[in-house]
Amino acid sequence: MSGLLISALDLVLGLLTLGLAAATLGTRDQARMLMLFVTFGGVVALLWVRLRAPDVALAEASIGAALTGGLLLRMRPMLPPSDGNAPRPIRALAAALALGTFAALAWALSLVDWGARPSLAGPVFERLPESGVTNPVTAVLLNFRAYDTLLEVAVLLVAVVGVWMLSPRAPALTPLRDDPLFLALLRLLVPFLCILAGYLLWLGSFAPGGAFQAGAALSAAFLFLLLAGVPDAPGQADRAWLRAALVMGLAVFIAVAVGVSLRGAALLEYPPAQAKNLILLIEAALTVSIALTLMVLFQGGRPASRDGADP
Amino acid sequence: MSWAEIVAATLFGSGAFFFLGGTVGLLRFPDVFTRLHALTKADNLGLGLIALGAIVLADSLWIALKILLVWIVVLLGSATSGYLVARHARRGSNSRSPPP
Repeated sequence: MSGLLISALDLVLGLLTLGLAAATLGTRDQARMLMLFVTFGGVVALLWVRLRAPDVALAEASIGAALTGGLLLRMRPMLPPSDGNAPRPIRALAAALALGTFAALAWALSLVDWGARPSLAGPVFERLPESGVTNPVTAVLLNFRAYDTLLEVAVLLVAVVGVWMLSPRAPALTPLRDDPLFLALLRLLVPFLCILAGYLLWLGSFAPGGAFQAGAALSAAFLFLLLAGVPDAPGQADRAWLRAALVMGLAVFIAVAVGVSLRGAALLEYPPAQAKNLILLIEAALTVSIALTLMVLFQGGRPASRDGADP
Repeated sequence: MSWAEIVAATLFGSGAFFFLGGTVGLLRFPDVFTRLHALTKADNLGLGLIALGAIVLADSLWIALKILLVWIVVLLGSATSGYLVARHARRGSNSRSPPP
């Protein structure tokens, strides 16, 4: 009985995902499209929960749905008004590319002999005690395949540097400065989000959580302060410490990589005794950098300089 | 089925009922304000009942408190965002039928 209910739930979630994707692509109204996209992200997060990947679900909900949705909503006034009528050849080309990629991926997946391929789950769990953490996802991301994460963080930094350099200032926001109810909410939510970020960061070593989710929570706190028109809040003025904090995640990561290799180990091969501390150090630096990176991306350009004047 | 499961299932069912009511209101009511009215009341109560059901099934007091915390945070957030949407609508943009 409960098995049947669960299957029904999965079926509904799957159909809902496909339906939302189709609706997102089919609508011609940008605002509606964005709302559908955010809803799509929420349902996909639920799908990840059903697939027993709570780490991915957390990342999808916080970054994929909430923050990406916020970024898109923020950028909507800067987009040219779209009547949804791109030239027919371009639409045909886009559809052909998307379908072609999908077909190639489906074909490749159908060729894989899943039984013959050794799963990597076994080796990961075997070496988990050496990783310094007990959450296998964090062990892979920050230890076994830390190199990949290091490069990902570099990509994030390149992205924020690009945004920073390309547009000199963020377009004006309409802050909810005067609103007593919003400010009352912030007095509760901002400290709560800061604690939540620290909690998610700490949780990452033994349960779903980690730097990206913690960074998303922290950036939500910063975004609330931005909307409330608190100009001294982090990430709103071009200060030396902001630039330093944006680079800090990658810098700490590289420093650890070089540090352990100076002691004779391979790059990012932490000594097991210090692995947990090193991972937490890297993740703490990453959390701050990711939160401020999202903050700069949300403002769509280099924040105003120190005295508030435009550069 | 244990008693806890029966109680939880009843709470889930009642919660879903209120969500359904809120959604019907969202779809059927004519303007922003009545829709908000339906959504903010019915969904908060629905979520509260579902949270209560989850608390009945929770393994430990610690998890029960976390679920309670989630509900409280959602209450705070949805009450304020409902008010902000209404304020925005009242100031004249996006409202289908402007307030008198």
